Amino acid sequence: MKRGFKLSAAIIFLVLLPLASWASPEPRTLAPGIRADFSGGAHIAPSYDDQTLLLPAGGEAVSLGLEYSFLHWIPLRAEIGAFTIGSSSYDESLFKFRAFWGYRIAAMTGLRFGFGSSELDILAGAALSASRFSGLDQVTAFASAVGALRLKVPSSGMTIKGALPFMTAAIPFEYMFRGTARTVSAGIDLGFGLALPVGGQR
Amino acid sequence: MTRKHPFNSSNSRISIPSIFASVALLSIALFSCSLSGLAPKTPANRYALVIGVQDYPNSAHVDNDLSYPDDDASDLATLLASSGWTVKKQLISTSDGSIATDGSPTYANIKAAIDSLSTDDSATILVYYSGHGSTDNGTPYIIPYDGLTTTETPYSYYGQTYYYQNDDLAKWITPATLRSWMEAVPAKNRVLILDSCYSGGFITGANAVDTAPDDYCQKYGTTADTAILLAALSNFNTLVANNLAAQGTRDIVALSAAGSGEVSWDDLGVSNGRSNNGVFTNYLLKAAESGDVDSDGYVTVAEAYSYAKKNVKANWNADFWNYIDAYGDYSFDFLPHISGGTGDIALYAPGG
Repeated sequence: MKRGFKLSAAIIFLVLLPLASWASPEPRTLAPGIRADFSGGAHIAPSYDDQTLLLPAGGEAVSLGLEYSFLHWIPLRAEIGAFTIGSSSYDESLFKFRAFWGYRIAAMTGLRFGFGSSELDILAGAALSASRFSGLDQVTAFASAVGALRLKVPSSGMTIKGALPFMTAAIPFEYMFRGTARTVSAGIDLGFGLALPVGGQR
Repeated sequence: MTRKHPFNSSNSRISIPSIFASVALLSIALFSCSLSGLAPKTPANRYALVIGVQDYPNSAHVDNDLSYPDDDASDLATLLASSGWTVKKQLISTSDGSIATDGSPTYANIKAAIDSLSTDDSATILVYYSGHGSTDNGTPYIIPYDGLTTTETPYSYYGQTYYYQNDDLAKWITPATLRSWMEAVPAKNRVLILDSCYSGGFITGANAVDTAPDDYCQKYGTTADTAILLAALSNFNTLVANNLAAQGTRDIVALSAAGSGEVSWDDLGVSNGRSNNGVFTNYLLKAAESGDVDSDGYVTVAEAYSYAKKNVKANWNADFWNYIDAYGDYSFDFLPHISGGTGDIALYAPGG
């Protein structure tokens, strides 16, 4: 699988594991306001068309997110990111889907639920991607339906100029409209971010 | 004092490290999954038609014969047969009596051979053509054997008399005609490979943009490395709309020797250490041994294209001086092109 950039969920795990020690017996909470985060992860991304059932493929992605929340509601979460998806396995006729990579912007809205000091977001929206078939001169652009379950866990005893750091774990979903093919992506992303609460925080 | 979360209704403790450890382990498992899996056995229903027009009709003063399309078609037929394909017909026009042929590559014979390639909806079909290509009023063509006649027309140029051979344009095959013939054949996958001038005009598709230039010329700095993604951005809305709307039959996976504004070259020159084949087909054949980029035991059409393009660029375009003739018409440089659909097909596979 030829990748436009190199990213390993394993590396993310090794980087973030020490940061998990942020958690303490008395966690702090995330207040309404603006959050920015960075995350990355690995996905399964099978494709299908009229002539074949899902052919498995895998991929990786990184993204920067910016969102505003108010009470239970997230009016807008915007993301910009990069992704790569490898070629699929072959079907019985020795056909497979090509590898591709590209850049994506997404806009989502959703709801936020709290449990303990953590938050669980349920998001849905749409994305636009510009992509290139790996190793070829053909470029294309396509739309997707996107969604995500995002868990945020704040740090304790630490702020950065009033902003509260947090860690995220997410299960992103994407359904890509790619010509005669459709690609369904689901994965696991890990990341970290900063919350800028309105009105400050004690 | 720590402010409780407004929605906190529980004093339960959650082990944070365990959450992240579990998620991270799942990530590793996901990432480590074998993504391509084992390729299936080469199926029996892969059918090929190879066409090579080396020997064209000649007029009194004009000889439009080529050097190697007969070898191209014959050599590729042999290689395909060892790669699990059933070569149903070899339509080769040749002055070499040692090359086998199933008939003359006339317009009617080519159509009939394509029509009879398959009766199996799950089959894969392949059509290969090596011979003359041309354009007329912006429309690209491939020229079957009976596309040229034995008559000629004289013309004067700077006081000298020259001749051009009369053609039979009705026998020239357009991209739309060839596509309609191939799409009428019952099949699941369709592959088209062309080694002819201006063959990039047969690479069509509304769902992607080909950023390789139609007329590649190193001397003037037009390369395939420029305008990538910028080309997509300039067509962004159209591409998104086309990709949303498209459904149904898979695109033909098409591979051309040259761009729609380029000539491809027949005379490779044995003295350069290359085989008796056209420049592009020489590397298309060699891709069977050296083109398996992902080492999965199969060479796909895209892998063959990448290998051919790399070697045409490095060995042909670099060998010949960047030359524009006195009339600014053309240079020796050219680049292969490939279609932009989402799919790829194994071209060379372990024999079935």
